[in-house]
Amino acid sequence: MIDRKPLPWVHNKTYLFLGDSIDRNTLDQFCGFAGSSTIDSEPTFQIEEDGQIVETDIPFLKTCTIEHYDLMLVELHFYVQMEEDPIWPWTMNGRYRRPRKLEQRLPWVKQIMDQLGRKPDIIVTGGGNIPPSILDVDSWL
Amino acid sequence: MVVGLWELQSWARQDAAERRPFQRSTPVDRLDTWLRRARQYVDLLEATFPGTFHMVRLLHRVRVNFLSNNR
Repeated sequence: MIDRKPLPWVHNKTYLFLGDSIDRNTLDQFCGFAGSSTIDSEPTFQIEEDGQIVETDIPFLKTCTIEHYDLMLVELHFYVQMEEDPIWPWTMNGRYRRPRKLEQRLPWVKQIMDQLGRKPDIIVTGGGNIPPSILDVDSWL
Repeated sequence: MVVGLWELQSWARQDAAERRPFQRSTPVDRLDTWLRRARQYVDLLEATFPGTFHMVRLLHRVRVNFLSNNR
């Protein structure tokens, strides 16, 4: 039985992690320790990219809710690596995950949060794999 | 914002691919570029989620050679 002490600083809060595998694994373990478990889903939306309507394909939305505190932790594997990499599957079928551009990716994140009915109180961008080019908004590729 | 070394890896790989000499420090123009891009990212995040507290965690890649005797 977990002793649920008052924790006003986490009550009714939403933490959003735009992360990588470090955040994903940490969230899994934290939720387990906190007596909850994570839920995985793969939300897709239609977006316009290069003049075409396409579906987003960044998987691995992970959510964890600690009901007692109404605390929700949300993690999106951000797939930020911009280059071909022989080791890690940053790309899919030889192209970059959609939405590709940062200007599209952040509204996509907001759509997901709206769908969850939560507004993030804290956003943590985890960047174990952010190369310089991720931050070049004009040339996401 | 905490800045690690990981995000410099692309430049290091470019340098290696072009067989440029080893550099002991990061050139000022690259640091400027990184800061400009970081500012753009934060601005976009702020525009998408106005007023939300934001942290950035950047870690550099750690490669461990398990066969090495150097411990």
